[in-house]
Amino acid sequence: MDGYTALWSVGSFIAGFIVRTFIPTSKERFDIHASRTENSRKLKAERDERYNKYVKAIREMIAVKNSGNTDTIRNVYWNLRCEGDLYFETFETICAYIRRGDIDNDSAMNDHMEEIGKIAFKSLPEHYKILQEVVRKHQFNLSDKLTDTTFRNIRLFLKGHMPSDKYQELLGLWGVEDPLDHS
Amino acid sequence: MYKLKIKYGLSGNEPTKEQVQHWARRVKELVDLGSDLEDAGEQAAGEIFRTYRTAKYASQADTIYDLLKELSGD
Repeated sequence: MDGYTALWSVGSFIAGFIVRTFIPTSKERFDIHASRTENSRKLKAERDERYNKYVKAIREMIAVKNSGNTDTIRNVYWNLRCEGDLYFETFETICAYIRRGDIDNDSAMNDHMEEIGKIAFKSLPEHYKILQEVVRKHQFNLSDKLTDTTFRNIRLFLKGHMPSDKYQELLGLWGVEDPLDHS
Repeated sequence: MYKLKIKYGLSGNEPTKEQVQHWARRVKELVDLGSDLEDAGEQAAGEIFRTYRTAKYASQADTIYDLLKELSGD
């Protein structure tokens, strides 16, 4: 084998290695897309399951709030607090997945975007407001409030998808400040 | 099909596969004519689905918010 042939062989091998390693085939691209769609489906299913449990917990609280039985109210309060946090955590996970590109754009738009915005602006602040009201009313020795670090992925996701004055409005609703978040 | 039912407020059964394909073709026609994708989807849904915007489906956030307001007594 002469020098040029050897050089060509090595060059071809390296080029082929680079292409195989860094440029996905059409099957690989299909598999990646399918995986992202499946991620979205699983997360939506988990969100829906958590939603049902959270709604049940709110209804239980509504049923006992005027019962006068502090022990019952405390137990139901704990359940409401936990189920609410678990439900909102699913959005935290969804936002993290979207930010990493592990959910495809269509699924993100169709399954999650609208809910993420409404949850952040309506449900989350109201949930914490209610927890604080219950704690105050019944003098439970607990503290429940949103902090600069809670649900950070939701905040960062929305920060990248809305005008800055709208984001400031969100921070005001949450009662938090925006440290220098490094996305 | 379920997503279309919710998005366009369709009552009754979910749209059939043929209806969805018809809707998709009409959306493409409108987009080719210069419509925005969302607007095209709404217009096509209004033309093709008889029960367009006859049902209102509350989002999870809306339902949660309403229940929390009831809990606070507001």
